[in-house]
Amino acid sequence: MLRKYRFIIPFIIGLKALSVTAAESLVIPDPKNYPSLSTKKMGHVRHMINLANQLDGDFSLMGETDPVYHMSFHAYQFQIAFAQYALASAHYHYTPAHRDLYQKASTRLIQRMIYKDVWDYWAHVSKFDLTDRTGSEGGQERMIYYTEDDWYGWIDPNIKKNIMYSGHLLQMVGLHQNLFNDNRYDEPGSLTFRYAPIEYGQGPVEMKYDYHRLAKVIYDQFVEDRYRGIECERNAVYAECNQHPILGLMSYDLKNGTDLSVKVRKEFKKVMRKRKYINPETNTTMYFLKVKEDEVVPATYAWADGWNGHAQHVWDKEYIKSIYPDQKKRYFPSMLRGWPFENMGWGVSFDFGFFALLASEVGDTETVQAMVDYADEHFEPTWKDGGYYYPHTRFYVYNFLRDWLGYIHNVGPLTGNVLVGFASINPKDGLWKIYNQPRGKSHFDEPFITDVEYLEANVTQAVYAADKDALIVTLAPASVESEATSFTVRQLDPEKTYVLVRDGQVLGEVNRKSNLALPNAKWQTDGSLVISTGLTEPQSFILQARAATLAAR
Amino acid sequence: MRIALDKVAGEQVAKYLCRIMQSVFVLAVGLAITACSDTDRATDLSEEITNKKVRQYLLEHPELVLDDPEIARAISSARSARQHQARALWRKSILAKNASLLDSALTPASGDVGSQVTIIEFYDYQCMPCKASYPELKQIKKTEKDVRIIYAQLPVFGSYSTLAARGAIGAHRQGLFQDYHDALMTANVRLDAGSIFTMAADIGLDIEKLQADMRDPQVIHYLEQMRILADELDVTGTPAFVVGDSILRGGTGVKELKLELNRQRTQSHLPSGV
Repeated sequence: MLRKYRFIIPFIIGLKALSVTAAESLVIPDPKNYPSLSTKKMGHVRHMINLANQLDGDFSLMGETDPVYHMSFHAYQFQIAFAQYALASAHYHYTPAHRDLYQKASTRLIQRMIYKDVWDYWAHVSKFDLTDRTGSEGGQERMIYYTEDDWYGWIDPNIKKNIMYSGHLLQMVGLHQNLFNDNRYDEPGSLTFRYAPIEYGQGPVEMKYDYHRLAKVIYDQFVEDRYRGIECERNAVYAECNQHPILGLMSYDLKNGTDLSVKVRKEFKKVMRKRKYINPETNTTMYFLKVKEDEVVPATYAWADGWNGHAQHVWDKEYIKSIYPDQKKRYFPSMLRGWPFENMGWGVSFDFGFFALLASEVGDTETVQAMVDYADEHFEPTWKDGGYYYPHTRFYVYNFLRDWLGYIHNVGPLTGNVLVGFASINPKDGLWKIYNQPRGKSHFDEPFITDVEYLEANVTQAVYAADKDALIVTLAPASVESEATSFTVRQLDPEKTYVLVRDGQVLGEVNRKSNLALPNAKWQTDGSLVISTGLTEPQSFILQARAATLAAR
Repeated sequence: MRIALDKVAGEQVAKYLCRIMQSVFVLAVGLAITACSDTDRATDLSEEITNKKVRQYLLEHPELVLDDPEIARAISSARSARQHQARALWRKSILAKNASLLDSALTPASGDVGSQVTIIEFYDYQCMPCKASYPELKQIKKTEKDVRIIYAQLPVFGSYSTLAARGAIGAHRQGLFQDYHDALMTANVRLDAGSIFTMAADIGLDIEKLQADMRDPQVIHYLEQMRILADELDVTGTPAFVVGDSILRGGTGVKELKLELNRQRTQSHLPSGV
């Protein structure tokens, strides 16, 4: 028997020796040198993806509609929008070479955003001027100030005002188109709003939008309003609401070669300065501008500063960085602990979430860590279907008291589902980089992975290091334990030979042209490479081009 | 003289108004009947209601319609019937577009393809109303003839629901869907990988083949397509029963299902286009 293979054996030994020699001399990139999602960060990502994957009409875990105003800062639109921004940050910074999961989730979130339960509050809210909230009945605020003309309200959520909705939609679509090079929202009617309210006795109404129309409607309002900002609610311009359409227009410019955002940023900044939207004495963001009264209502809310600041930082970095220390000094000490049973007011949950987000964006990692640790300790963190989040507390809409030890427990759905997770994921300048260092066209020609089994595997890291011509991927077990799973690598150069490394160990080489494969790495007819592996604990893979490995030596 | 003239004129006006009121009545009845989908009669009546004088009068006196609760009701019900009909047509077109998916070899179903009415149940193995509706649907399957039931997987309760849905398709490939479906629907345990495979083994499924089928990209793609179909049909929760061209949402009993089946059967006897 051995005699039969006597010529082959030395050859195999020789090959083995060659491979060992090559392995010894390789300069393989170390996955630790690239950002990766920790178990909890991955859990946050997964929770937001789980929310994206709920059916359109399923809002479980997302709280309830406010019975008085029909919307609030907890509203679905904010949870959906910020979940998309958080996932964008995760994708951009940790897994740029893993698109399909994030692209699908982003599409789903946009689809959920245009589902009527998310935006039809506007037909109701647009009836009222909410800026004077003094009316009360039985201790509850109530809306008594009907505006002059619109008893029936406005159905179209984008056409006028309501920038607290349309601005987010624009930002979401812009992020989607740029991050995934996916132009589906350019199609006329790709953002179609369907409204068929029985209570009005009207026929169904369809409002057709696309990326271009949405951008134009919003830009025109900026111009029409002389850049003082677009109203969110009627008669109320909030600074933070207007940051989102600005980011949306920045994406639009990037994609379409226009300069809509340039003028808006410049002029809006002028108005902000002139009207003291951010008070230069206190460095705090206003509550809102009452349009009819032409009156800025000042405020010192951590949520307003966090919300406005994290987004304005994208286009006004140095300024936001310069006022952040003052804001931190004002809010942070009392944010974690204070007097027992102190009433922290209705904004307590937003204060926490938005301020953590601002801290992450400006790179105050120490504060972010302290807040995330606090949330992990006091906000009853929960794992659900592979996702990690802080469930909203039962009385989040009216119990704002600290406990007897002075800790805050109030968690609203926006903070618990999204904001704390977003803050923990978002690295320093996280959003700033997405907008100011966008991926070039070449990014979409680089190797990337697809078809990772969502039930079985989490991709905690997927990056193509162009300087090393290496794809670095780390998988971790997901919600369903699997003995074997797989992923597909696409856009590998068929001419090149790649070295496959798992957990620092060279497994061998693959080459598409010569059909060189490995037992666990097989070429497909479409030129992709399927890599299979057992996955009971995290595993890192590197596919590095041979020429690059030699050059690196 | 003037009084006499006025009287004559008054009588004429009264007659005229009387005719208009009759026409308005006809309009309301006409709309209501249109809603009942009687096209021929509706066409006749619509000729009457386009009478220029009535139209003109109504344009000048819309309050006649607005202030009359009976007419307002009739108009509203005619409108909602039209909307209902439009939605039914829209649903039909979606189902027609997805016929190959619904008739796919991966789709578990009972009853003949040519049955008079088809029920498509979108469900999740971890959804309690789905489980509650299960014996009801079984009853329908037993007693109602000429009904096809399609079991459309719509896993919405997380990883183990997805796993169970894949398992159900795998079981269907082995010809044991009904047994596995029954086991999953009546299971009194929380679903996890252990319980999903234990139930599969208990009914005699080849586990190795089942696991391979559950990983089959074709099966995964099939479930994605079913999810897209549910989206298109505006299914916003489980269970949802598409009965013919109508939809019943949430847990549903024999009574509601029978009622809708009968309505669909009656409807299918009407001339096409109704």
